[in-house]
Amino acid sequence: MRIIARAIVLAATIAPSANAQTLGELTDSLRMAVQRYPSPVVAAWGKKLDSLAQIIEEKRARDLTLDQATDAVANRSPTFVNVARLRRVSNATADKLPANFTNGLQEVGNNLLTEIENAGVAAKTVEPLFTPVIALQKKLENADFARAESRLNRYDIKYGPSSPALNGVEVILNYALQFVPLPFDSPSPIELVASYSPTGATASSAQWRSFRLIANTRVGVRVYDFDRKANTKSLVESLRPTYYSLGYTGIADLASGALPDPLHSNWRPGGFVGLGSLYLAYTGVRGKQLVFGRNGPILPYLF
Amino acid sequence: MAIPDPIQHDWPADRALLLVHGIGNAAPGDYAPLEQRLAEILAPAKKPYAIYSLYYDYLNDWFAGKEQVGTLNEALRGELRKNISRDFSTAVDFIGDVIWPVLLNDARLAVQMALRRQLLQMVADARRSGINNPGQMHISIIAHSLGCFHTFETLHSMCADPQCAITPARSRLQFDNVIFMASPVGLIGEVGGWIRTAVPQSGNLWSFRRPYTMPSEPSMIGGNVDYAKRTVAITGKLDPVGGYFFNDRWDAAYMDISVVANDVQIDDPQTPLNINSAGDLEAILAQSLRDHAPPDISDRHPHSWNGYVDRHATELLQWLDV
Repeated sequence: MRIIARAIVLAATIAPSANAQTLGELTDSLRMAVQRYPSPVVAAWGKKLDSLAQIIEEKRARDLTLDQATDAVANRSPTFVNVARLRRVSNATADKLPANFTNGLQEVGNNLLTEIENAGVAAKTVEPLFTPVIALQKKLENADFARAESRLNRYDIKYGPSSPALNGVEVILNYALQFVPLPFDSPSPIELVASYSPTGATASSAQWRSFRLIANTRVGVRVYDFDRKANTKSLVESLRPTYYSLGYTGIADLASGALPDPLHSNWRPGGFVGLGSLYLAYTGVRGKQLVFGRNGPILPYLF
Repeated sequence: MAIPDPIQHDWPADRALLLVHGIGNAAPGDYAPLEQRLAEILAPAKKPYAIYSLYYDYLNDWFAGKEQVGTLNEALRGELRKNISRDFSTAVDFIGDVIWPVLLNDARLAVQMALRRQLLQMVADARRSGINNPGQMHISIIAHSLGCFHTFETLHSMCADPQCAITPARSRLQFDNVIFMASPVGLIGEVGGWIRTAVPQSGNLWSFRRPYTMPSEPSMIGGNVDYAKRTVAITGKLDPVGGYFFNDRWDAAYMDISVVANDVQIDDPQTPLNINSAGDLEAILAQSLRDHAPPDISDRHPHSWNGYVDRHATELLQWLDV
């Protein structure tokens, strides 16, 4: 019994607790590993560990959690929202830790573990000592996986089957837009709109018989809402549009006929807003006109 | 539509293989026969493999539907025909199929993200199977055709990304083998160079940078750690996608990896295909073409992935049985 009790005490002093989640505990456990498994390569990594541990002491960052250290990597992307500080950064971790600090800890920890295992120490023996390193590596992998999922969801929203198809002019405009440096990670939430629709609906009074179709052109931008979940089961969420649009509109005269020339100059200028596939266009030129319609090509490749 | 989840497997040992397909309309499960064939080839190995396939054609379908890729492709083929001699006119159709991702930045990056997610899933599967250290995970990749381009670009972009969790120096994850079969990387680099001013963010494309190198990451204690312990490029001498036209190598369009450490470069004579003249080859290539669809690649076709695997079964076992 005494032997078992002593073994438990020994294990408790050697191996950090399974829920060790702070940078201080991580560096302590690595220092222990460096002492227990000496070799020239381990010593080289031990020197790097000392440098990192010194930074932790200087910055008084021992109590920072592994989650905070992971966030420091996740929030380092120079996107517009990060630069503008629109995204919440937890506990000012990024201010406390130098750039690449978490990556440095990750590298030192994983290399020490691999070197010791490659030297013939069984994983079962050495890995309890590396519990915080393994936890940090796993958190970084989970964060990376979540980022990849999020990016794929964005591509789904912008390019998936429920996204608005582009007409020929929009394909060319948006191809050209790729050459414009924009402060967004791929995919950009911005898309150019250049649409011609002969099927907008308008009315001159509240009577059904006054409804008629009217042509309009629209030039502007479409902005995708990447926070909207593309495949949500929530009814409220599913009603929320995945994109909005606004810009210039040209509305035909009522007397213009069914398919007026889109390049003709006789369009009445105004503005439009769009929610999802629906848009509302308005002009006050040569009489007030409100037009309601649906985005999307009627004839493939044309408009 | 729902984005397909990455493939998940339990690892039977400490090793796994990822297959990255090329042009085609592959649906999940379509490469099961190839996985089965590879499982047979690897059966004598010391440890069994978990075999994964990356299916990403749903992404190509998105972009084809939204951006009218067919139209872009036709315009591109017209441009290529001006630059390529009549003898190789049939090959232009294959070049068109592999070159279009360079024109659409998001199309390329979306596939890279799907591949990265699959690799992260494989690492998560390894953990679930009891392997906690990425440095002890033995992962190999076999890519074919356009899959080589996506693999090559993805590995470079992952290695250069400080947010990537599984880089070689930081996580110690190194691929045992990255095997390119019928790679169009050289072809894309050469043909893309002709239209470089029309390629958005061309500076980010590693396929445009010669000589071809594999990604590596500087270590904190000095030196560089390679992402791949062994890099293999197998190019069929009858396969236009790899830069060959009936045994005639177009050097500028060939994926030369001779400067890569631990490289294996094989120019496969493809003798068992029994194609004895340029006319025979032209006929086989022409027969495989379909309107508004990727080519139909039969087993006798010089671009067939099954053919590459079968002809190099012995070497595959040797490379993967680490």
